[in-house]
Amino acid sequence: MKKLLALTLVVALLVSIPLVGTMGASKTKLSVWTFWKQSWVQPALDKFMAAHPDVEIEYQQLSWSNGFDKIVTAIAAGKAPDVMELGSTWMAQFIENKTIAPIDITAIKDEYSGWNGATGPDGNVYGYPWFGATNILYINADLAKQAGIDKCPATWSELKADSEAIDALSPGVRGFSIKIGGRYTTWQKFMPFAWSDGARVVSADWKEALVPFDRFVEALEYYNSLKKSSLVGTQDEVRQAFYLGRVGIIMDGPGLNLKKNAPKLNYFVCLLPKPDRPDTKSVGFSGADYIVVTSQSKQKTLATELAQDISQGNLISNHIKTLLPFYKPDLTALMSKYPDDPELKVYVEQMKNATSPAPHPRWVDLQEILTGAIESTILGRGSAEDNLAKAKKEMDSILAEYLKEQGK
Amino acid sequence: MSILFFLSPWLVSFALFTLYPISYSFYLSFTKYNPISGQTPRFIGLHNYLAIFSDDRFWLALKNTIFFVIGTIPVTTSIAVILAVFLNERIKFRSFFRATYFMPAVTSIVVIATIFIYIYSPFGVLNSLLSLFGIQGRNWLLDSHFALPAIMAMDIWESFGYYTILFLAGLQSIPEELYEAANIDGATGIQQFFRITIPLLRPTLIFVLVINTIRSFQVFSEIFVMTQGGPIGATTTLVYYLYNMGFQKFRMGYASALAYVLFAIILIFSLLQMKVLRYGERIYD
Repeated sequence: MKKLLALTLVVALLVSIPLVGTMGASKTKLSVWTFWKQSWVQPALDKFMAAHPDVEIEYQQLSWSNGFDKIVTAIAAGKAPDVMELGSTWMAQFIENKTIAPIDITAIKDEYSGWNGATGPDGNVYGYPWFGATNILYINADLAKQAGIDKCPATWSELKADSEAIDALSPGVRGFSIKIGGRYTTWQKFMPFAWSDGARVVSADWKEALVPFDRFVEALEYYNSLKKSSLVGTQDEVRQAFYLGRVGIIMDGPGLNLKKNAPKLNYFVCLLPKPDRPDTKSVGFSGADYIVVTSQSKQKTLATELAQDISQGNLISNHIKTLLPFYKPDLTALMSKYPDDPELKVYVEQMKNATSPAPHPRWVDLQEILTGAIESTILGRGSAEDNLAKAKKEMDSILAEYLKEQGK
Repeated sequence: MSILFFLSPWLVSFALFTLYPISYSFYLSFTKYNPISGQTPRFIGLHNYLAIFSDDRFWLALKNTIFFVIGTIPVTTSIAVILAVFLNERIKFRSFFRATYFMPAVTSIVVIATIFIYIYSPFGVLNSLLSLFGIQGRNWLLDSHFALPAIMAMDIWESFGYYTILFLAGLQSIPEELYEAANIDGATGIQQFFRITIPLLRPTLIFVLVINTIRSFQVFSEIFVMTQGGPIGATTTLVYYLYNMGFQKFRMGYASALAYVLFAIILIFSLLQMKVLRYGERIYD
């Protein structure tokens, strides 16, 4: 009897192993990589799985420190996820290399803003705009009051005057703050000044760098002139100083997170100031994140549907409200949820005029050169004009090399 | 056959995770390869190697790296030898001191670098200390003249404990009789140090110098965490530049060629060190 029972168990086990394998294999697997907690994205995953019970989703949260390297190595190894999040500064390279797949936006084009950063030179769109962030001015209200400042600086001269007034309060307090260092900070904090002045980094046909021209030089000279009354430091250093009340004015975005890092700080928020000339406007930097489908995905139709689901529903903005959704109904919902939030209002207003650099596939090289020119000027290594002229030479050679590669 | 069987776990992992990547990157160094393009590497001969020598940023990275190596190794080694000699004496709390000096060596470099970012910040401990003496501080990691020396100082602090332990092991293998004989002959402590300790520490010294040179030429984590090569390229070292080329600009062929140029430089330095340090070794044999 025992032998029979054992034999039955063994047979049952042997039969069930391939069955279990078949059961697992019957589900289609989709992998999703983003930089956020799974619980934040889960509502979209649940919605998708409810509509597709035969699909199983494997979610991975990437780290900000090495997530990009992980994406690159996975792609090189042919193990890219089906759906992933990409920052705007990375989109051009991925589009150029056809690493991400085009999507058809005919039916939903008007429902989103922010398509520009996902549009390739071939006119195709390569991802769903998820959310964007821009920078605004945060002003320490107590320091401003002591310095006799009672309104937002609307122009460059007002910003400079306010910075100098706060800086004069005490030797331990600086007026404005200039952030340098790292791969992105230096140029991302400076470029709003250049854009507001009407300057651009490269020409529309990508044949020439425009950095040494008048408006660009003027913007960098102005930025450098703020140095006398500013704290020059890395993003973390400057933020820390602002939290501690040692800096009066900081240009920052959602990462400043005053509620968490300096809950007792009295502050107000403003749009970025513009040059004094009437033909200018306040332009901010727009950093956007996209949800893309990789070219390696074997389930592109399903992956595209999942990507669209993730791009809707305020998944991130419900947790960090100043990361503004590009899906228009989501933005409306967010604004209705916080109708009296002054910070959100300023972010939304600034975002209307926010922009990002030309999506040139060699932007990584160009940003490095631009960063060098800005840092050299701020750190007193030559004039803005000389540094930008040198930068133009280097940028032009990269642009020419790119055109040559493209056979143009 | 049984030897091969017992060695096979190591052989397999060595072949998979060391030999294959090394050989593949050597092949890549002769190609143009973008890892995200989905295309296979395209053979371009020596083009990457020739391009390196006309690349200004490579020369800047090499200059910074050599400055780092030359600035850190003598200081680290000297401190480690002197400390090892003191810790070899019968002093109170000897084990405590040994453990304390070794502690940075077992702490993650990322943690250490993060702490030093705060130490070097404009409102950090270093500037506060300097202000006590009326010295005006600066933003150490954003000053193109001081950023690399600041990282070097941290590296010295982080690494000398490990080398101290190696020297301690070397010191304990020196026969006590030699010092006793030297005492009878009336040799001073300094004379004993230069005539007995240093010559007999020579094998350890060679080992420490060679591995420290290799490690210093490969400095990366500190730079990645603290400055990302800035400001104005002042802290861009060869490995950081290589990483930037491979993983930010996707020029994997060029990055591989850089790795082999670095390999050649380290090899030459190491061979030179061994040749110089072994000169006259027979006198003491």
